[in-house]
Formats: sequence, structure tokens, C-alpha cells
Amino acid sequence: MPQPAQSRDLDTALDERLNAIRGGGRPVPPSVRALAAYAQHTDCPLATLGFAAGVDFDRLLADTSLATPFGQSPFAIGRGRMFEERLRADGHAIALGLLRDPLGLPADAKAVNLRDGIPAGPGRMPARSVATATHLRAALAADPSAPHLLDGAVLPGEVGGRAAFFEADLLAAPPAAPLRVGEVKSFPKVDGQVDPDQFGPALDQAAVYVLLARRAVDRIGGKPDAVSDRVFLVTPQNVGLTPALSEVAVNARVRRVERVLEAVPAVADVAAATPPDITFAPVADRQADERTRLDALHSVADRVGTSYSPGCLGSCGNARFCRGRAVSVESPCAIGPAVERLFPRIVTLGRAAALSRGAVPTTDEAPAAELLARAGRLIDAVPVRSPS
Amino acid sequence: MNHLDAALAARAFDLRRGVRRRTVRHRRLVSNPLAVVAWQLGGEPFAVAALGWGDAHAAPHRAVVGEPRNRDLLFAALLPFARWFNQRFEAHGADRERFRDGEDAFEVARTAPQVLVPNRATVELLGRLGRRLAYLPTDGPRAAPVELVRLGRHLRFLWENAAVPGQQLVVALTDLVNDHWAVPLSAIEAESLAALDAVIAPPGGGCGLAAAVEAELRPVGPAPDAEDEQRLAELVERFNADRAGRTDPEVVRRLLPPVVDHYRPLLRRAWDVLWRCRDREAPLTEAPSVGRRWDDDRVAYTRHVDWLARGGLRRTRHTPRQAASVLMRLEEAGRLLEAEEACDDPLVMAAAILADRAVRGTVTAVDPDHTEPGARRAVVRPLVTLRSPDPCMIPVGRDLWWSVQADGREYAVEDVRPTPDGWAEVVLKRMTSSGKAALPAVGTEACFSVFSTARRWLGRLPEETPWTHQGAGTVPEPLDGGAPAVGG
Repeated sequence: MPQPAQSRDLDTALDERLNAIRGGGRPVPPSVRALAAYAQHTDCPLATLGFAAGVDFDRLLADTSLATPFGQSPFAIGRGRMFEERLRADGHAIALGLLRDPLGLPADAKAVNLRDGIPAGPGRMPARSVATATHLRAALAADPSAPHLLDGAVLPGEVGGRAAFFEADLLAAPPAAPLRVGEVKSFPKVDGQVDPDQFGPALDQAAVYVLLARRAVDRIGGKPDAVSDRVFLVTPQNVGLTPALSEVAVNARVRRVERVLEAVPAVADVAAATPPDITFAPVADRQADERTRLDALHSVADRVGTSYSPGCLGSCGNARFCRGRAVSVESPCAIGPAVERLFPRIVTLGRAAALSRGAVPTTDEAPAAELLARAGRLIDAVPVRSPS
Repeated sequence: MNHLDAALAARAFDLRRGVRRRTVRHRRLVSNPLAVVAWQLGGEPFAVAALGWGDAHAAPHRAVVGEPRNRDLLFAALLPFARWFNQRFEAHGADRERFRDGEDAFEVARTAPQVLVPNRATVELLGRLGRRLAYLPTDGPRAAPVELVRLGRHLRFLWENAAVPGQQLVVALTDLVNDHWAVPLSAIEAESLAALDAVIAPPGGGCGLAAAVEAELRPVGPAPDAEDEQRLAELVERFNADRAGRTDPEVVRRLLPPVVDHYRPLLRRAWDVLWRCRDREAPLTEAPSVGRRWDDDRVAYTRHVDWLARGGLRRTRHTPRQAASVLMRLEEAGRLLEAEEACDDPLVMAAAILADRAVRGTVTAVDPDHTEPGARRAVVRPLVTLRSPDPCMIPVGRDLWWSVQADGREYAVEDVRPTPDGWAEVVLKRMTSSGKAALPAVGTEACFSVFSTARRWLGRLPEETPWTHQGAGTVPEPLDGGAPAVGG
């Protein structure tokens, strides 16, 4: 669909603005992983800005003492790749063999790998999403030549008002039944169970694809219930690489993903609300010395604002930096939300410690101070018996 | 987190150091534990890449697999560990004493083994390894060494028993340290034993927080550090290329040194931190109730070795009936642990006082002859009056237990009177006239709390499992089978 010229100019201006904030370099596309990480920091202005502008927070502080080690083990990557290749070998023979009966695929089911035959480059994902739409249309029209399993389907989505492409591992199209979304993961299924810590995020990921597949189907005139909310997960069985199937209905997760996507602020709004000279360029500059880079990030953080909680340590590349800031101002959030809740309106941990030793509280501090003072008295009344 | 812990955390932050949150040690630490540290390969949850073990800090043993994805190499490397572990773990079962529990009498091992690991994640790893080894066939074409199967069953038992609150057969040091120290770290950060150790005893005595920030970058396993893995990947690749599919000990011995060199400092680091943390807690006086829990541990251990001797297997998934009784047992163990720790340790009881779950003060009056109408005739219900320096919000009628007789009969709160000076006068009524139980003496300090350390009757499950709880059982299958993994 041709866009009005004015809108295109606006887009170009926005791109330039985001490029300036990012300080050059390619933007990080909003992948499912980035979205899941951002969903945990929606209350952090710095994270919001970074997500909107596509700043690679995982690498922003690389080579400094505050870098967060987020790299993946090469063994884990290798295992994942090997498992996927096994499923794909011989025209997806193993994958089709696993899925045929449970999903009701015909005996002569065909699979197509949408990664094949499309050249690399910026146009690759859009081209794959067009190919995906073509296959989806054929499947909905019950075209007998349509493939029954799409490997690497690309679904277009919109994040904060910007187009983005998401890659679904598997999309199955059983004849005369709703489409099914599938994920391939290399962690094992043992005793009929997948490690719940890894199962949940995988299902969240599949839920994103269910939502986007429904929208894709809607665009080509199909009904949303043409995509089932019962997703499947292909994981190795036990310690080998034989695949096993798990099926789960994820309707609640689909609704949650929908809310998360809706809550992502429009990129244009974020850019407009950001002071014009804000940029991550000096922070990302690996040639500069550490002090300069951290000072630059401090000045951005001071002006934009942050919202640190210990949960950030697992999902944000700036977390160790923000923790340092929280510690330097003795903020209760450095220890965690539980402590923060118990110290309402007590600004610093040092102050909380002083109140526990009987300091006179201000009016603001009074509600929490009484229990703190009592706690301190009880602690001090206990004779110390420890040898150290 | 309660207010007392929050106040301790604030003080710890103020000092930039960990501070003790217990006055006594609430876990047994035996003098000859079976200490184990482990590293795994990324994406390989059911294998170990390197193991360190021993029963003294000065004498660690080591096994490095080289290619943990190869079953033959993994099993060969585990064998010396299995022999060492099984021998020491099973030795405690030989010396028994007679134990009496009501009408039942049974033989219980006098001592039990104690396994020390750095953290929960290592317990989980050993549990998964146990799952893999415990059900392997010991005959047929892919027979596994008997020692490994026995090791697997021991590890599986330890992993399952680790869920019991207060058990001491396997002690994860992060749990032990977090139970005994208040640290200015979040719960996530306090999962790192290196960070905990640094914040409690910063090297050079500087700022504990800064030391913890540095230490957390040097993990102690079992999950590998991504950068270490990058270096390791090259070594493993070369190892695999050079051995060209061979797994015989001669070839492995010749090619392994570079991989061993990679793991040597990692194992050393985990080993040292583990023992440093253990040795810091060991000198603390042991809490009185630890012995009671150790008895439970000895019983659990004895049952396990006896079950194993009869060739018994364990299900990998509980039946609904098992699940119900296990849950009941765990809840009761958790309740007892909480009560015993509070009665053993004034700092734990302080948190209960703050939360209005306990009251302490000076005994101002005792009326041992107070009577009131009973069902048929008047009964003696002694009254104790306590003057508490804190306001008391415990409702009248609540059952409390005297902390020095927490396994005895309950006292009901009869009356609570706030005094003009902000203190409180609490009248308690002992709910038995039995002359056996002593009463607190006037003028002494006493503490009454909701904690009872008496064992409770856990009830009985129905003879037949109701249809709502009937599920399909599963038969454990050996994990090794199907298509082989990499590194064949």
C-alpha cells in the first residue's frame, strides 16, 4: 500500500532522531526476547528509551567493569542448532513423523523451509513474511498443493507503532483444522515434564506467534479462530536428541502478550519526549575510557530517569550500572521491593539503620519508624554470642 | 521478609557488611562432610563437565570429563567419584542403635553422612544426574556400572530429601549462610556464594558491597560462565578432533590435560569458597533442637539404605497418595523448624514478638491454684501475669506456648491490659492442671509464643484414593537411549 509522502518524511525524520539517540549503528529489532525483557522494565524510562530507539543494552557497557555477562554458551547454541538440523533433515522427515498423528497431518504431508532461497539483506524478513502470507492463504483456501508445515515462518507485527518481523519456528496447517503454532527448544523433556523455568518463557514466545498469526490471517480475510491457541513444543526426549512433543493451550498468555504489546509506548512519542541532545553514542564508544563512558551514561540516566529493582539483573544489560547508582544513594530498592515496602517514605537505608538505633523520625518517617525502633531495641537486647 | 530482617538488612547496608541474624547455628555441620563442587556444560542439564570432591579442605579430588556429551567418557570420569562417594555414604548404615517411637521400635544408624555443596543449583544438578544414573540397566548391551547406579540412587534420595525443611543430609552453603546472616544484597544476588562470602568477609577488610560486586563475576558453578565456555569450546573441539571417536583411557589421559587446566582454577575457586563459608559457621554453638532434626535425618537415611538393600526403586513422579502424604510431612517439618528455631534463638523470637506472634516480659504474678468451672467439676487452671515492655496486640483466647516448654500444653491469653507507660500486662492461663509441668517463677523473664514444638497427629489418608486424585502412574525410563547426542 503506498504511503502518503508526508508520512514518509515524518518516518525519515523519526529514523534520524532514533539514529541520533542510538549514536549510529544498526538498531536492535524488537524480537520476542527483547520484548519479553522489556515487559519487565516498562516502568523504567531509560529502558523504554533504549527499547524504542533499538539500543543494544546487552552490549552498551561491553568492555567496562559494569558489563553484564549475558553471553550464551557455545555448547548450548550448538546443541540447539544440531537439534533443529535433525528435525529438518530429509525434507523434515523427523519433524513430520513426530507431528503427523498428534496434529492430524496427512501421510504425504509436505514441509517448506522459508529460510531457503531468499537472499540475505534488509529485504529478507519482509520477503519471508510475504512468502508466509502466500502459504497461509493457500492453506486457508484448502489448496491441495499447500505445504502442511512452515519452518521459519515470518509474521509481521507492530511494536510501538513501528513495523517489526517475528520468526516463528514452526507453523502447522493440518487439513480442515485450525493452524497450529510450534516452538523448537533444545532443553529436554524428562518424565513427561519440561523444566518449568524454561517451559513458561517458551510458551510466552509461542503466544506472541499465535497473536501475530491471527492478525496475519485476519489481513488475508480469514477468521482469527483459524489459528488454534493450542501450541506445541518440540524438545529432545531425555538426554539424546530424539524429539518429543508437548501441547499446551496458551489463551491466557495470548491475552497477556496482547496487553504487553498494547502497553509499549509509541516510538514517536518516546522520541518526542526525549530532550534533543540525549544520545548513547559516547557510552557505546568502545575506544573511550571507562570513566568517560560511564559518566555519559550517568548524565543520560540523570535526565531520563531510571527505575532499578534487583529483578533487572537478570534481564537488562545496564542493571549493574543502575545498581551502583541505587547503592550510592543508599536507596532501599538496592535490596529489593520487599524492603522498600517495609520502609515507606524512608529515603535511604542509612536512615533506616539510624531509625533502628533510635534516631528521632521526621513526620514523614513516623509510620515506619516506630516498628523500626522496636526492631532495633529487640535486636540490641539480644546478647551477642557469635565467635566472629 | 519481616521488619526485624529489614532492620538487620538496613544495618548491614549501613556497615557495608553482612551481620549475623542468628545467635546459634541451626544446622548440624559434621566434621567429615562429603563436599562436592560441580561444573556443567551449557545446555547439558543431565551431565557434569567437572567435579571436585573430598572430606577435607586440604584434600580435594578431581574429575574432568573432557566431552560430557559422550556417555562413555562421562561414566568413566564419574566412576572414581562414585566409588569414593558410595563407600563413605553407605558406611554410616552399618552401626545401628534401637530407636523407639511409641509402640514402634526400629534400628537406626547411629551416624549419617552429610553432603556439602555450594548452592541449590548444585543440589538440582546432582538430582538430575541421579535421575539419569539411578534407573540405568546393569546388564544387556548398554549396561552401566553398578557403582554409578548406586550413586544415582543416593543422589536421587538426597535431592528428594533436600525439600524437607531443616534437613541436614545435604547442605547447600548459600542456604546455610543466608539463614544465618543478614546481608545488604537482594535475594537474587544472595544466591551467589562468592558474593555472600565477599560481603560477609571482604578480602582485605574493605567495603563488603564492592567486594561482592567483584566476586559475583567469579561464579562457583554449576552453571558455566559464558566467557569461560568460549575458551572451553576450543579445547573441547581439539580434544574431540584428536581422540577421533576413541574413548579408551590411554587416549583420554594423553589428550585431557588442556581441559583439566581449564577447570582446575574453577574447581579450586568453588572448593575454597565452599570450605571458607562452612568453616565460618562451624564454630558457632549448635542450637538445642538440631539434635532432634538430626535424628529425623538419621531415620530418613536408614530408610533409604534399607530400601536400597532390598532392591527398592523410587518413582520419579509421586502417585497422588504419595504426593498428599509427602506434602503433609513437608508442611509439618516446616512448622516444626520454624517453631524450634524461634524457641532456640532470641533473635528469631524477636521477629515473632515484633509481629505480635509472641510476647515476652517479666513475670509479676503466678496463681497456681486458680480454679474455674470445668465440664463436671471445678478444675485448676494456673494463671501467669506478664509485664511486657512492648504493646501487645495478641487477641484474648489465642493459644500460646511457653518457649522453654514449647512441646508442652498451651496457655490461653486470658486478658491483655495496656498500661499507661505504653507497656502491657498479659494474663495467661495454663490449660492443664497437671502438676508435672512447672510454672515460670515470679520475677523471671518469660516468653510465650504461637510456636509449639510438639509433634502433631498428621491424620490418615483414606484407604482408597478418591477418584479425584487418581492419576496415571509412570514407569521410569532410562534417559540414555534413543538417538545419541553429540560427541559420539
